[in-house]
Amino acid sequence: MEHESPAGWRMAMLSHVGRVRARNEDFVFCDEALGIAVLADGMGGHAGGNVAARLAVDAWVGRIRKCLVEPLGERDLRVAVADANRVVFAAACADPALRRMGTTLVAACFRRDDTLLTCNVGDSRLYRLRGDVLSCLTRDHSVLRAQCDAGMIESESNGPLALRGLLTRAVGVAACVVADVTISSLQPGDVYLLCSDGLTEMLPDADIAHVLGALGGNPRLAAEHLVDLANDRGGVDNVSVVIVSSNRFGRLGAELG
Amino acid sequence: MPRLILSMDGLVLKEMVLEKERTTIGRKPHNDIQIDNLAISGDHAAIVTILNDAFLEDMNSTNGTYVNGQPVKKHVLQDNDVIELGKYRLKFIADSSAVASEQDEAMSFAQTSGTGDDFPATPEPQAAGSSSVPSAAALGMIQILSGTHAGRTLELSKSLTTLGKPGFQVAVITRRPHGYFITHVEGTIFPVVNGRSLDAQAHRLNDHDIIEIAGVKMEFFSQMVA
Repeated sequence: MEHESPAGWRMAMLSHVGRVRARNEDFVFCDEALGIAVLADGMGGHAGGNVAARLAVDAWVGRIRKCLVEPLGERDLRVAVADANRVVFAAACADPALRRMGTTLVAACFRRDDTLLTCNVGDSRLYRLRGDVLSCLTRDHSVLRAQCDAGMIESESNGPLALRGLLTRAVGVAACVVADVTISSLQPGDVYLLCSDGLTEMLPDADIAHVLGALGGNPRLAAEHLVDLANDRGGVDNVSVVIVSSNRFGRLGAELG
Repeated sequence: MPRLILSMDGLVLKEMVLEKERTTIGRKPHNDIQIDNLAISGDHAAIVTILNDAFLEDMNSTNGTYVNGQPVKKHVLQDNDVIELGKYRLKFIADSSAVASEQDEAMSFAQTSGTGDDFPATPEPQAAGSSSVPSAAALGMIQILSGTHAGRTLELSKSLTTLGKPGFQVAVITRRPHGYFITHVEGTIFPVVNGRSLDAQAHRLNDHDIIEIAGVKMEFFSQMVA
């Protein structure tokens, strides 16, 4: 999974069922040559969650491949999310066993003009480590996040537990969905992480930043280590990560001389 | 004696022994455990301890008391139960002989690059007959044996510690509940443990293993944390 892309972004992905759930309903995809990374966290139905995640990612990637003749634009991402939504919604309506399935979707396109195009629906996130600063570039579409924004609760972590994981937007649960689309600049040394909430529920940001900083030079190891850490701390949900790094060398805990 | 470990956002704030028959938790200052946060009621909850049994009671708090994610009014505490009040977590440890792994995790924020002055140059002797495989409770250390930093020790308190020379050879030592592992990160030369070169797989470290990274020899050992 690790070979050089023209733009120098190296990617690695890993999806793990965790230690509690019986089935992995997350789905990940990345392609260094195309410069795209995408992650979906499916939910609902008897068999629906993993079907929804897979259908959404396949549809999204399929649309993006068709758009790649020209540099990708914001509109392409919205169209790709609409495609993914249509495919999942149609499948959910057609098969009673898949009824009410849906999925989150977060995706990043690394463009050759050193800009990053992202889209997201739901509570799967995209993080960036730049220098020592870890920033979340996406905004969760969750009930707790909405309550937090409205000033009803102090932070997402102290909202009612019953509302944890409830989404305000998802792919495939209605005829239409609106994705958030962002553009930001890419800098050499940046490390990006796409992840499902199975990671962020288990690990505080400080731990994520530490792993990305230390192992940014080796995306595969960074991905393995993040998943190991989430599982060591309970692994209550599926854990999936995609790491995209332009960093050659990780930060050293100790330099030997 | 049973104990409580108070933490917030994964960071341990305090550890308390349940010495009294009745320990009260709340925002007001008269409580035994005062948590000054608006999400906590003035008199939020109480724990009644009789020998090694402890009973948690919610004192009709506004935001409720949760144990392992479930709202409770009255609850018999079991070892490792996690009490949640707002964004504060209290982990209940029934027996003092059990070592809290949560506390170890919180120490992971501590600086890794020990100067050597803070730590004994030689490991404390392990209890006779104890296994040489470090447990989750043991804190791993590296003592540098050669090169310019010879004699220094490095505490492996974080979940991972990278060591080496950038661009030449780097390895990572990861801390897992079942022990410490070394893995090659970058460079054409792989780490050597006890004279044998590693492959790309993670390798479990045992006490007194001799590691060679970037031409520097070092010894791994672990200590029980007090």
